[in-house]
Amino acid sequence: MNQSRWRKFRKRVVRHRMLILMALPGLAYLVINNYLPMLGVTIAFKEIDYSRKGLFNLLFGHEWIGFKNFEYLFRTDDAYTITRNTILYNGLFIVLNTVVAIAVAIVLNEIRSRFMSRLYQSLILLPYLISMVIVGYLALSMLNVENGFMNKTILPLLGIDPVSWYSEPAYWPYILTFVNLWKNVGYLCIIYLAAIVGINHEYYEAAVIDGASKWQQITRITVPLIAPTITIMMLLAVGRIFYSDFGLFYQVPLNSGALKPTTDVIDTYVYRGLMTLGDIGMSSAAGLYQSAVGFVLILLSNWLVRRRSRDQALF
Amino acid sequence: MRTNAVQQTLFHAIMAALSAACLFPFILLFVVSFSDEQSIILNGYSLIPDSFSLEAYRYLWGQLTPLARAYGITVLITAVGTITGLLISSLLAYSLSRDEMPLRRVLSFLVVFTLLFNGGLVPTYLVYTEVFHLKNTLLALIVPGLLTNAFFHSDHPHVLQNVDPGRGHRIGLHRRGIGMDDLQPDHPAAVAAHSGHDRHDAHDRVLE
Repeated sequence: MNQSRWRKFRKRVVRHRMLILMALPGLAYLVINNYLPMLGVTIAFKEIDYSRKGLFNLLFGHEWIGFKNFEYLFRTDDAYTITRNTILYNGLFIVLNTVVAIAVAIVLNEIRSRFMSRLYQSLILLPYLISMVIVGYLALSMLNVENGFMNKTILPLLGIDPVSWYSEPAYWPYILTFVNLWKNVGYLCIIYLAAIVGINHEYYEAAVIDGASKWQQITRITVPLIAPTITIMMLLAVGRIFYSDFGLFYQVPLNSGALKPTTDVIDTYVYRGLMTLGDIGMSSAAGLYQSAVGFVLILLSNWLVRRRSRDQALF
Repeated sequence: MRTNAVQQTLFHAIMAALSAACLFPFILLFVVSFSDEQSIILNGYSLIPDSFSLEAYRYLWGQLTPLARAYGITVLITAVGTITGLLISSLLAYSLSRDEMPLRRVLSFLVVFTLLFNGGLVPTYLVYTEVFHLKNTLLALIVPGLLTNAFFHSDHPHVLQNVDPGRGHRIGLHRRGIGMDDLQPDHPAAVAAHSGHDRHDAHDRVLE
């Protein structure tokens, strides 16, 4: 019985060998890029011996030390700081980006000149299209201590003394939030604009006949009708709340050590641990902490998305 | 009608202000690139410099060889990365979309699972540097992030399902004949949307 099933399977494999052949490069890539590193997460529980290299040593070499790396990580203040920063920044970004993007989308939708509407869309999308490295230098042109536009033009106008931006952590929550908004709002706005454009015009015509003001049309028709899109977008973002925009937190503060209390997030911490400190143990422990919590959050948000709309769930 | 005109003016004013805010840093950088160094030292970066200079561009002209090389590499990794990425992603997605694919459910799960859980930066780095020795090679810029697994998930839930399985047979094609041709024309936007190859996250950076 079992043997005949096996034979059937083999026959199927032979008959559809082209399909399998087509899938092979992709599957091999998944093994290299995703599944080998997944097996490699065990190094978070090991003491790394730097002289032992190669695949075998990565998977089976090195001495097991249990949760020691995690103990070191959570005994420092770092674990608290990076978790707090990651969650607070991402939480703030989700709410603020959504609110501003919807507001802008509503305003854009009201503009009657098609040409101007397109022009505004292109201009606010511009920051989304450039690399974070460039954004870092655009920020530097504003914030540079000696020559920056803030210190040389704006602050003197307001009669405020120059600020040494790159060594004052207190300002960075505002700066990073602003840069993130500036960079991403154009893209989000276009997604919401697409949802708004899809609303049936008859609702508005009926509302106008009933004497509804523009404000009432927005709050009673537009927002409720795009609410499903908003919920899905936000839930998907919440699933990724443990992962942050590496470029934003690494490039924009120009990797300044003094700013770490307010700019260090899990991604930058893992990166610095690996590249500058060479502390693989701590770094991999933080990385696994991120992957594990991130995994739970993604499952949770996907479950919530699925309950609202099957189509938009990942699985 | 009057209130409409007022409203339109207000909306234009809001959008013009936002557009200006988005454009401002670019304009500033552009003007600064033509500013005289002395006037920058004196007044800082400014939209109206005291005197203009082409010194910065003269300097860049002197750096032409490394600059051209850098752009060459950018073009190369974008072209090669996009083409190979699209190819292996489309081939895999196509196979997994067919009902008769052996082990279809298991393999689809393996693809989706990579969206949920990843080994993280450190093991990925170790696999690429110590097992495959990609550090400081051109491949390090191309290989990570090659597979657009976005193909398989919800952004375009029906991307691959609109292909009529019988179509190829009806027009007398062997299985080998149904593939990209069937897939692409229906969904060029989906393919285009996912073919960007300029992500620059930590995973890519460590290998550079």
